Amino acid sequence: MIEDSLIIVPAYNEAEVIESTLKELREYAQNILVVDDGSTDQTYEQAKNQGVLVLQHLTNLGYASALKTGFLYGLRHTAYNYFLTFDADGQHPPAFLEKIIQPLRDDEADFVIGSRYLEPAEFKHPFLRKAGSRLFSFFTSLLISQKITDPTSGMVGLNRRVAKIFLSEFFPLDFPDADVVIMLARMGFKIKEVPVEMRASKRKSSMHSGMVKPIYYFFKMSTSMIHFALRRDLKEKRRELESVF
Amino acid sequence: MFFRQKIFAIVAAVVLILLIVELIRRRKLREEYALLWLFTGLGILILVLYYPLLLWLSKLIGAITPTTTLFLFAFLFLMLISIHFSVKFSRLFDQMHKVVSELAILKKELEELKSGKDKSPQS
Repeated sequence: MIEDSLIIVPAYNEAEVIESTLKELREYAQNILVVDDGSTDQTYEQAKNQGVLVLQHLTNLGYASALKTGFLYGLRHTAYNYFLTFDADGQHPPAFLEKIIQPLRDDEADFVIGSRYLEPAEFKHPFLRKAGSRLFSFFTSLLISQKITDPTSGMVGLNRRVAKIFLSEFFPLDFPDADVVIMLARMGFKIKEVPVEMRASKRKSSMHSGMVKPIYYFFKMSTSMIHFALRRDLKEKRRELESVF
Repeated sequence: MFFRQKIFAIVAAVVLILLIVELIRRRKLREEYALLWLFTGLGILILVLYYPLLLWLSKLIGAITPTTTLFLFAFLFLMLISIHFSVKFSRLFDQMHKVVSELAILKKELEELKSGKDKSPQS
């Protein structure tokens, strides 16, 4: 049972699946925080019924905003040494959480990515998603001189130092993925990947579904990656931000 | 520039300026947002009233007719206003996130206080 970490579960209109996700998660972790991002269904009530911590956004602000609220809550409580992000749609098997936390506990890494592509997996990801992930993986690895196989994974672990950085304006408020990995590496944080397996989402649509969203995602991620790759003051900014909180 | 064009441009600029001033007076528009709009109105008015300036500007930018210059500058002002609003929206979103985030945490703490138990871990 994981006791030293806070598992942050952002949720938006996940009433159909949140109950089963939380039931499974509770078998592995003690501290679970659901951030309901202004759902219009019964997500908030369903999550509360499971006896976990639940915060509710008054309006829908997006996935990254919900994560940021989770980090803010977690940093205000000293009991949590580490934070893990976990999708509410049942994609992430909680059995891998321990594997993600261990490098943080051993101080081998400040930011751990649960990678779907480090080892061959049974579940086949949709072609376009896999192709996009591979493309961002190539450029991320190139820019930080470290092999990163899955920079778009939503199953990550981080320590309090990284969480402080995530509370700043440097944390993108839409899709924090490969750009965040580049930012952290250039700030001097240690990054590590561990192999995880993921399942098919229980939901029919995701935040990247449709025609316009993937195009916007690609454009936004590319510009954000270039932005962090070109900045020269990230180490200095890290020192400033670490002293603020 | 034809007389009718001149009159129309003057009336449009004056109406725009009066509208902005009235909106500020009624506290429906903050001064900082009104600044660019006022510049737009005043800019049109100055260019129309002081015709040699409009001719000089047209020559400078290579426009054939003075009306083209007026339209071009109106377009540039509108573009500036749009960029100004985009920047404001981005900042407003960041501010809204902070407010919503804090409210979510405060609501949780209030619920815990009301129910007389503190389920949250060590603060």
